[in-house]
Amino acid sequence: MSERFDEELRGWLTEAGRVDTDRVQRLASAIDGLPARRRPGPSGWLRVSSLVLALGIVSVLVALVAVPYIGRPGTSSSPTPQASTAPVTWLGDPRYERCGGGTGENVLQAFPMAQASDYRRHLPQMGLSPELDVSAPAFVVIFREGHPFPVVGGPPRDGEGESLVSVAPSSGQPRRHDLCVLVGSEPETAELHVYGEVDVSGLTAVLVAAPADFSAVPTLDGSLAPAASASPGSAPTTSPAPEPALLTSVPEVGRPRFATGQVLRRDDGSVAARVSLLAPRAGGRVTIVEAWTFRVSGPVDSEGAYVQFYPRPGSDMILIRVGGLGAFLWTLGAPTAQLEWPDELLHAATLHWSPDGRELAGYAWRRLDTIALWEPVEGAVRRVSAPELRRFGSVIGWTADSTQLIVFAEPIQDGVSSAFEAACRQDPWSGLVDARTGATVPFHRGDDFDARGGLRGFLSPSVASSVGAVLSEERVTVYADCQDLSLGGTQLALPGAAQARDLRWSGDGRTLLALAADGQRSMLLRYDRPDIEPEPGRVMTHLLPPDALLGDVSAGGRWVLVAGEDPRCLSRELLDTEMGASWTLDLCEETSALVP
Amino acid sequence: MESVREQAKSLQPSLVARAVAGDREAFRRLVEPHLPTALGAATALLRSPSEADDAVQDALLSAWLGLHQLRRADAFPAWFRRHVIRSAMKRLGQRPRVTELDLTAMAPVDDLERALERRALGRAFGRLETKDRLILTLHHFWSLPVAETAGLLGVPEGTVKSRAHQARARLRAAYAAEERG
Repeated sequence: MSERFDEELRGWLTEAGRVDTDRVQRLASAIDGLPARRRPGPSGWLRVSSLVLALGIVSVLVALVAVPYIGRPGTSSSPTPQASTAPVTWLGDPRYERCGGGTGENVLQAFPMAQASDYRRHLPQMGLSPELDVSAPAFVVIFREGHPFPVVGGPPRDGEGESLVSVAPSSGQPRRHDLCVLVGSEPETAELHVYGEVDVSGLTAVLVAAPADFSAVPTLDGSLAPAASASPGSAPTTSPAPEPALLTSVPEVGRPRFATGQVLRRDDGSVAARVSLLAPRAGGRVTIVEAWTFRVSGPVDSEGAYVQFYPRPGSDMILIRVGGLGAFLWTLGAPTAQLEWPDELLHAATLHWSPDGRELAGYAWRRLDTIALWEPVEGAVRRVSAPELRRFGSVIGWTADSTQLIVFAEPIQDGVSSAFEAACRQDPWSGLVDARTGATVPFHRGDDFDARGGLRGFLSPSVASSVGAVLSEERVTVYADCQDLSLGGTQLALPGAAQARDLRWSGDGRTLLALAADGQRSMLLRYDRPDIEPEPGRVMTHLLPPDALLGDVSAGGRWVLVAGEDPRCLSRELLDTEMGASWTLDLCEETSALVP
Repeated sequence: MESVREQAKSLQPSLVARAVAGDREAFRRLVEPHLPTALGAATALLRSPSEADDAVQDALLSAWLGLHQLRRADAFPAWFRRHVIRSAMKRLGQRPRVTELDLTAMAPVDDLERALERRALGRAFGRLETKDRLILTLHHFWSLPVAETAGLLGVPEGTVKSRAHQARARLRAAYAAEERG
C-alpha cells in the first residue's frame, strides 16, 4: 500500500515536474546574458555618504547590465508615448511626496508594492536589485524625464541632515526612466532608493483602491455634450476627454486584452473613475497597456454610478458607460470621444453590440414592446417593436449575420413570476426579432438552433428553459432542474454528480463552454461542436471555486473571463482554455470585459 | 571507453575553472545537464512553470556570481542544486496571489477520474508545509541520497529519514481528505 502510494507520488511529481526542451533551451540561452563576473565601477551617479544610496547605485548598475538576462529584451524602438494625465490618485500621499512626485506632471506612474521584492514582477526588465529583495512594503514612482531627486539616504539618523542629490538627466533612451522606490511601512523613515534609466517595459502595476481624499482628482476641463438625463435641466458637465495615458509601449503584449473599470469615488455631484486596458503576460502577470482616470460631474442617480464596458467587435473601440452620467468611446491609443447617451437606453440593463460592430441593442426604457438600436459613432437611434415583446424581456444576443436579435421575454403575472415558473413551466416567449422590420420567429421546444455570436444559453432542445436559465443566478439553479444538454444531437455528459451552472458559446459558434458544479468545485468544460470540428473534443480545462461564474468568452472560445466572490470584492480570472493557464486580476474593479 | 557521464565529470574541474574566470560557455556546459531536473524540481515545488523558470534563473545568476566560492569542482551538481532549492524556497516564501492552474487539469473528459485523482494529489501536495514539500521533492523527484539531502537541509541523516516519513504520512492524510472532499 505504502509502496503504491510512493509510486503514485513519484508519478505525480514526475508529471508535475516535466519540462520541455524549449524551456531548458530558453534558460540555457539566458546564460549568454549573465552579467560579467567582474562588475564595472559606478558611474553617472553622484556619491552620497549613505549606505542606502550606495546600494541603489549598485542596483542601478546591476539593472543596466542584467536587463538582457532578467527578462525578455524590449523589441520596440519607439519611445514611450507621453501620457497626458498624472497619477492624481497619489497626490498628497506622503510616500509619493517623499519620492519627489510633486504635482505629478513629471510622473509616469506611481504604485505601491505589497513587498519590495515584488519589483521583479512589476518591473520585469529592471534587473536585479538586491536591496529590494526584502518583504517590507514599498512604493514606486516612475518619472517621465530625468528628475532631481531630493534624496534622503535611508532612515534619518541622529545628527545627520538631509542632503540633496541631483541625478544626471536621462539620455532619452526608449522606455528608460528614472524611478524612486521607497521601502518601508512608515513613509517618514522608509528607505529611499533611486535608479536611473531603468527599462520599464512590461510594467505591471497593481491598481488599488484610491485614497480617501479625492479632492485632487481633477474635473475634466471644457464642456461635455449633455448626456441624456431624466432631468434635462441638470446636464452633467465635464471636459473634452483627454487622451488616454499610454503607460508603456506594447509590442510584446499579446492578446487578449481586458478592459477594467473602477469607480474611485461617487457622490451626489460627480463620479471619479479609472479605466484600464490590461493584457496577460507569462507567469500569471498582467500588464497595463493603457489607463485613464477621469471625473465626470453631474447628477448621480439613485442607483449610483457604475462603469460598464462594451468592446466594439472588430475594432479598437470600447464604449465606456458611466451609469447615469454619460458615455465615452475609448479608441485605444487615440483621443477619446464623448458620446450623448440616448434617452431610450438610459436604464437599459444590458446592451449587445451587433457582431458587425454597427449597433448596440437594448430594451427601450418604459416601452416594453420596443428594442432600441443605437449606432454610437453616428449617434443615430432607431427602434423595432413587436407585440411578443410586451413582456418583461431581455435581448440575449444577435445572430451571427447581425440581422436578427435573440430575445427572451417572460410573462408578467401578479407581479414578478417565480424563476422556476417562468423558465420551466410557463413557456416564456423566446425567439428571433428581425432588427429591421421587427418580424418575429418564436423558438419552440425541440427546435434546433445554431447559436452563434457568443450567445449565452443553450437552445436545443429545451429552448425556453435554457435561454432563460442564464438570466440570473436564481435561474441557473432552475436551469439545472430542467436541463437537457445536447450538442448537435449528441448528448453531453457532465462528470459525476455535476450540474451545469452556466453555458456560453464562443463568438464563432464552434465551441461551447460549460461551467459545471458538484457542490465542492466548478469545472470549466470545453465542447467543440461535433458537427463542425473534425475531431470533436470535450476537455476539462480548469477546476474553479464552487461559486465561479462565466463571463465573456472570446470569439474563438480560447479565452474566458470568470468571476467569483472573495471576501473583499468580485474577483476575476482570465482562463486560457487551450493551455490551461489562468491570470487573476488583483483588482476590485467593478466591471471588466474582454476586448476583441 | 569513458561514458558521457564520466567524460563530463572529468571535464568538470576545467569547466569550473574557466567559468570562474568568466567563461560563460564553460558555465553553460556545466549547468546544462542539470537544468531539466532543476526546472522539474522547481516546478514541482512551486507548482508554477513560470515561477520555476524564474527560480532557476535566479539560481543560475547566484551560482554564476558565487562560483568562486565552490571549493571542490566535483561538488558542482550538489552545489548547484542547493542554489536551485534556495531560490525556489525563497519564492515559496514570497508567494504571490497570482497562481497558474495546473496543466494536468487539461485531461480529456474520458480521463476525468484519473485527472481528478492526480489533481487531488497535487492539491494535497500543495496543502503541505514547505518543509514537507521540499523533502518529498528531494526524495521522490530528485531521488537524492539521504546524506546529500541531509547536507542540503543542514540536518542529521536521521532527521531526514524521520522528516521524510512524517511528510509522507501527512501527504497521505491530505490526499485522503481531498478524495473525501
